[in-house]
Amino acid sequence: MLKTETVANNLGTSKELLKIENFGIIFDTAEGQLTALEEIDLSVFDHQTLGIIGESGSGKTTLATAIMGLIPENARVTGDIKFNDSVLINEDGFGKNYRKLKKKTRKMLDIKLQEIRWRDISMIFQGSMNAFNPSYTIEKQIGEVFRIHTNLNDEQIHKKCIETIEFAGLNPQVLSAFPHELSGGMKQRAIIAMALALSPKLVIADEPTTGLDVITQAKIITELKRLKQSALNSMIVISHDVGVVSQLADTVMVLYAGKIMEIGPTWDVYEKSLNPYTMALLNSYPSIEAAKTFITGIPGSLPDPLSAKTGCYFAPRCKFADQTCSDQIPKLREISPGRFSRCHYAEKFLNKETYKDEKKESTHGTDYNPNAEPVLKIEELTEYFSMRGKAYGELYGKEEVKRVVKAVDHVSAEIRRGEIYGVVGESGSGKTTLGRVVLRLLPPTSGKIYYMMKANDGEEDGEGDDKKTFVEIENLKDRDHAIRKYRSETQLIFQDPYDSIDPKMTVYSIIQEPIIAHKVTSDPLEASRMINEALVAVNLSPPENYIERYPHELSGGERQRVAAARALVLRPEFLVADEPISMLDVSLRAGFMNLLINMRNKFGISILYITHDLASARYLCDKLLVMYLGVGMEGGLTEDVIKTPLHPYTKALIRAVPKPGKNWDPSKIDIIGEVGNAIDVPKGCRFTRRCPYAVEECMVSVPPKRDAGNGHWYLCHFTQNELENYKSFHKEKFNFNDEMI
Amino acid sequence: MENRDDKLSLNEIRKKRLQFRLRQLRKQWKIFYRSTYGKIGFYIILVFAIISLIAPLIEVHHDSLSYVAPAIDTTAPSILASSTASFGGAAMVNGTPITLQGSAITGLGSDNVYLLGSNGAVSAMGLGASQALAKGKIANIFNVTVNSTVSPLGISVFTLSKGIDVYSGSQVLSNFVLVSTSNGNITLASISHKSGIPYASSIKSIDLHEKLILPAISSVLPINTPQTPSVPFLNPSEPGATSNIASIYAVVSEPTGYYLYKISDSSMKVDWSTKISTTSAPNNLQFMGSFYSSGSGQRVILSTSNEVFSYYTNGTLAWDNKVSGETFYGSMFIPYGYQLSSNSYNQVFLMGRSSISSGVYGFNAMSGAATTIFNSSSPNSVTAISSSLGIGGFPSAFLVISNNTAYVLSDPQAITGNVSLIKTYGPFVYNPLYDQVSSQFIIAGVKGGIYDLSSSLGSNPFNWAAVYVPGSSGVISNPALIINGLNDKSSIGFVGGNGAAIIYSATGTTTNPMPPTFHTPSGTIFPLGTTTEGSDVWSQFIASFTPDWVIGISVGLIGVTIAIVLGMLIGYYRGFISTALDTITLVIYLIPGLALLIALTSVLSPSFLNIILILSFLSWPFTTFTILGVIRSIKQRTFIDAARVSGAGSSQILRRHMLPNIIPLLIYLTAVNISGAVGGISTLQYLGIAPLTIQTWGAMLNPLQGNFNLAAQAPWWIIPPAIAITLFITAFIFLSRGVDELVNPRIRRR
Repeated sequence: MLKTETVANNLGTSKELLKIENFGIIFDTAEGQLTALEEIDLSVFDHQTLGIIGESGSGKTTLATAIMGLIPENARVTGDIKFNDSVLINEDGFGKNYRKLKKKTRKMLDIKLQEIRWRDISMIFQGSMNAFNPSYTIEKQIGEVFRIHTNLNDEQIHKKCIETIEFAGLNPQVLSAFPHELSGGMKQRAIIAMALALSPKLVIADEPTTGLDVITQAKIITELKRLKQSALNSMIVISHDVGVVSQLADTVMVLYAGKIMEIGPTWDVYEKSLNPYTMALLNSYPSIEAAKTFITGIPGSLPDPLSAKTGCYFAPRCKFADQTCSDQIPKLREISPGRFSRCHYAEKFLNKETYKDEKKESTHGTDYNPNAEPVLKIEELTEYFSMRGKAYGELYGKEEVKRVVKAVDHVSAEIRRGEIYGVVGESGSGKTTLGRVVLRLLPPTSGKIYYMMKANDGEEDGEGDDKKTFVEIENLKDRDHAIRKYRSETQLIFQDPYDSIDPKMTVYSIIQEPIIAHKVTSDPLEASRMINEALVAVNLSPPENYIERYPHELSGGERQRVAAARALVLRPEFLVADEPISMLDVSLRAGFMNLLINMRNKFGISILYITHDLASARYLCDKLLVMYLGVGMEGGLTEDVIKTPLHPYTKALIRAVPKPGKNWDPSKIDIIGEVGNAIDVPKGCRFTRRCPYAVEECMVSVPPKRDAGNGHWYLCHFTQNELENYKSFHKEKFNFNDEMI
Repeated sequence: MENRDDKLSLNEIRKKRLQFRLRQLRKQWKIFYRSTYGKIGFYIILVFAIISLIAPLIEVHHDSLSYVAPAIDTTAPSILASSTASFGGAAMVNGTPITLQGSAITGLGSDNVYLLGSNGAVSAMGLGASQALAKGKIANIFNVTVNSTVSPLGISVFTLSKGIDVYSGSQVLSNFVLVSTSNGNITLASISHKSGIPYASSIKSIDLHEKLILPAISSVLPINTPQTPSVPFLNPSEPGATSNIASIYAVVSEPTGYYLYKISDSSMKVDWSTKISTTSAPNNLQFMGSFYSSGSGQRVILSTSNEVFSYYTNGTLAWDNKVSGETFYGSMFIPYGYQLSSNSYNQVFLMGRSSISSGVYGFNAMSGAATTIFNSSSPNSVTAISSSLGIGGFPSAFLVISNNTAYVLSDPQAITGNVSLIKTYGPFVYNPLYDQVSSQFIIAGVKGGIYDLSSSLGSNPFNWAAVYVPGSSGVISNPALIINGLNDKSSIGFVGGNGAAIIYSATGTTTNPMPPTFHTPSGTIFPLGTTTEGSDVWSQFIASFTPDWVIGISVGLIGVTIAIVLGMLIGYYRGFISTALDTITLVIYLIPGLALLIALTSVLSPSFLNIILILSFLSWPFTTFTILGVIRSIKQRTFIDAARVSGAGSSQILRRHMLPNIIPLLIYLTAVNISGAVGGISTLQYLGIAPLTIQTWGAMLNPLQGNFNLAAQAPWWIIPPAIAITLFITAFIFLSRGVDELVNPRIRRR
């Protein structure tokens, strides 16, 4: 409770830096008035970090940009934002009213805002590592900040740049690099350095780690934590990831549909939430460390911001809701000192522990039969992509070897009927390529893919005589009968539901696709029946409500369900799910994962589940394969891998997952740098360059596969004991300095 | 039974799907319609489409390419002279107010116009001949008494012989002015010249003491008629005077009735008077046979509103006749040729009208038998008549102005042609003048429109036209033909509204060689004027809509169709053929478009079809590149992978996924291609590479290339096609923006 006390202290003594009073933003759109923010009352004190969590569409980013004074011209502003006791934003000069200002006033306002921005309030924008201009060096871009906002000369700016970049934990050499030469983590650090360059009083970090790999994310969080101690005055951290916010914020604010649902000291909110929405949100996250529990997510979706609403906005999705909730609009009330909640029944939740109340042992794992027949076997599967080098290099290059990307390198696996087989790894580890090769979207470079198929493919007389044999499918041509059959029995669910279904087709046509492709039936009634069934199977019912809709009329979760329905319509035997939940909102993830489990339980489908999210992998998968740079590093039953990781990489990966707990310390991850590229791989162990345990031998020879029993294996030169000993002897190697990146 | 149910529900499904499609279309239309750009574009295109559909109805001349408006405006007459002083032209009613000295006398005092003012002053206005009055200068000759009850009636100038000069053996000729006033006073004055200034050397007058209802006439034709074959004598006692003696005739209104008087020129005494057996006032009095060798054929012809009388020169009635139901009005007309010799075909022409019709009637000079010359079914439509000389029979060109249209007849009731006159400058109640020098009619409208109409009409009926803007009274006086005795050139003179005398050259002088104009005096209204060639801009403009649409749409569709096939082929497949096609497309694309366009058009014969093909050929590379780029990017989209995983073959992917996704782009590209094609053909025609026989807006702009001044000179010609091209192209771009809004929800939100 140490932190809470500090916050309480701060609240009492330190200055109120930012004060938002009864703030609201309404956008005028072609469809009508869109209420983005309503009744926002908020204070940020000196030396305080405020975390804002909420689903996408809850208004987090709108609030952040509003504080920066970036309000679109179709917006109407109510209330005001005060910074350092002077009014920064009010309804007179922003949004719609901006145009009404006199030219001179407008200019003065612009100048005022320009001075405050960056110097007093700076912002790390969402996805801002892509905010660098690829044609300028980092120094030029960081120097720009000084050039605009200070009167320093070039030499001083150069010095300042070095100072800034060192402060962010980067090597000054980075300054002369171009953005594409840096890794994502380095770019993110540089952006943070830029935001801090002028020592602003308030930094707004909008999703500072989104899009980064889990290990990099952990390091950025460490970095921000360190900066919080030294340089950062006040900060607002915005994230949809409760783990990230919990690690950084002193105070947490929960936003829902543009309204504040709850504010309070971080751990109080996390552990003893006073608002059903907060509880539901927190419960949507599968946990990696606690027991495997059943998570429900939040049914339904965000209310339509265009329509008029009555009562509590969360009422339709709230399991505690009653008539009062849907009739009366709750007020944000102070329930106990320092803790505000917008709920009619907030008092009911006082002194109740959120987690314990809801936790149930998972029951879904029971359908898994580890001894079922294998459906798909891959042996030494390899996929190399040759890089198209420069013409000069191709002709006169000294190296005989062409540059190849070793995306998947001799991976073997066996997937059994009804099994959910997880493949985890950071980006660039070759997971997606593996999935594609398995489905023959890409022809494999070498290796074998065996698929269990009915031998008697001509006549399907009945269940009795279906002799099943393994068919090699890796070298079949697209027109082959076997591959057509394979296609009809396998399916893929893609990561991005916004891209994986054709925006020009109705839901009906999308799901009809495999039916047409495989000429399953020419009877439209039969097709219609199959489509309806598939829609019901993915909980899109009644189907009539959906078949005539276009993708843009669906929410992200519904889209992904449509994609799943398409995958299910022909009752496939085998399904590849490539990060199916990573683009979904937190509240919808649990629902989709449960859908996958149901599909397995109901139809006995085998699923190859590809993800970078260990928690979801743990929630879903029966077996796990950890991949690094195209090579399987560790494999085994999920619980074994998660609970007792054997490979140093797996260990680091599991440690790096941010957990909403006080004892998570990302600085203790035993790993160096970030994922390398798969072009220039080490001869020996792929992990050598990042492995703190690495010795000479690791560089030159391929590590052996070590079996730890129960199908659990890992790829390393050392046994667990050897690793432990090594660590205790070479303590200095594990004291990480980020400059090594 | 079950089967039937199935079928039923199958139909229902189909019906439902159809309804769904319709609903979607309506929804999309609504979204499209919400976009301002799209809406504007759509409506402009709609207007263009409607115009091109109804083009045949609204274009005035269907042969807009070959049609040339009567090139009447190629020459315009100039005002030869005009007086600065007022003659009270408004008060001058009836008769001929101005005449010019005849050709018989050359030298001193020639080239004057004689005028009778409302104040009774008889003046001469100079036309600028040497040793004569300066151009426009006025000299007073004498005055007649007028007051509030007495008004001047008219003036007539004619030449009389004063006998044979004993020394030279030639006749002594002198101009005489005959002026009459309403109180019965008739004055005849002989005009002499001193230092070029005319003056009255002898003035004789007679007072009839009765009310004169028509200006007194002389048996001699006024000198504003064509050349006189022989000059009558003033006095029968003069040497050489045998039969051809001049006299004066007048019609007076006495309490007992109307009387015709004959007055001797020399003594100014009444020879005889006879009562006219009519109760209605005569309104025309004319002498027929001024130049007959014997006096036996000569007649004095007068008409009342319902009857025509013919008197011998001794005062006995030769005949009288009427046309039942017809009322005569306007001026009686006797062709000049009928004054030369007595022939059986000689006629006197009169306009008549009844309650249901109007017409022109000819009365035989000898027998009085009436013939219908012209018949119009609308009453009061005929306003004026005239004809060519008529030597040898019925005049070769008989002109009737009816309903502001000039009809030319070759024989009674045989219309050879007609041409319309601008109504605004009429009504055309003055009998046109026949200028025998150029064998053309000079038509003058009351409001100042003056036309020189070819007697043969033809494709170019008007020689020239001018508009004299009348002054305060708003009308001009009855015009007089003036034949310049020195150079035989014709002029036309009248008194303008402000009372000033205006003389126009009858031949006109060449001014602007080809002035494009808004309207022609022929009355054909050109809403957008004409080109320098005389083509009707409106007709050309309207006729251009359809070809431009045809070219635009066919090029747009052909280009896009080729591009879809090639774009998909190159974009989706990989391999030798794809690369080869890619390269070929690139090569064509890289050749400068305009140069290739010009070269291809020049090499191939630039027919309509060829031009469409050439423009399509040039439009596909760009289109293909755009499409293949999009195809390649769609190929990277996950849903294509998803389709492949679902087992879809290439054709299914291309058909079901690629095509719907590029349709907005196709609409856009088609729109761009359509506008590009219209721009292309316009360029070709503007530069003169494509034949101008393809009627497009570009063709209309072609002359601008040689003469940029046209834009300022004839903006009505240049601006419409320029605007049409711009609007057409803009409309399609707007339309594509609307479509963009439809398919791009992100833009829509803003």
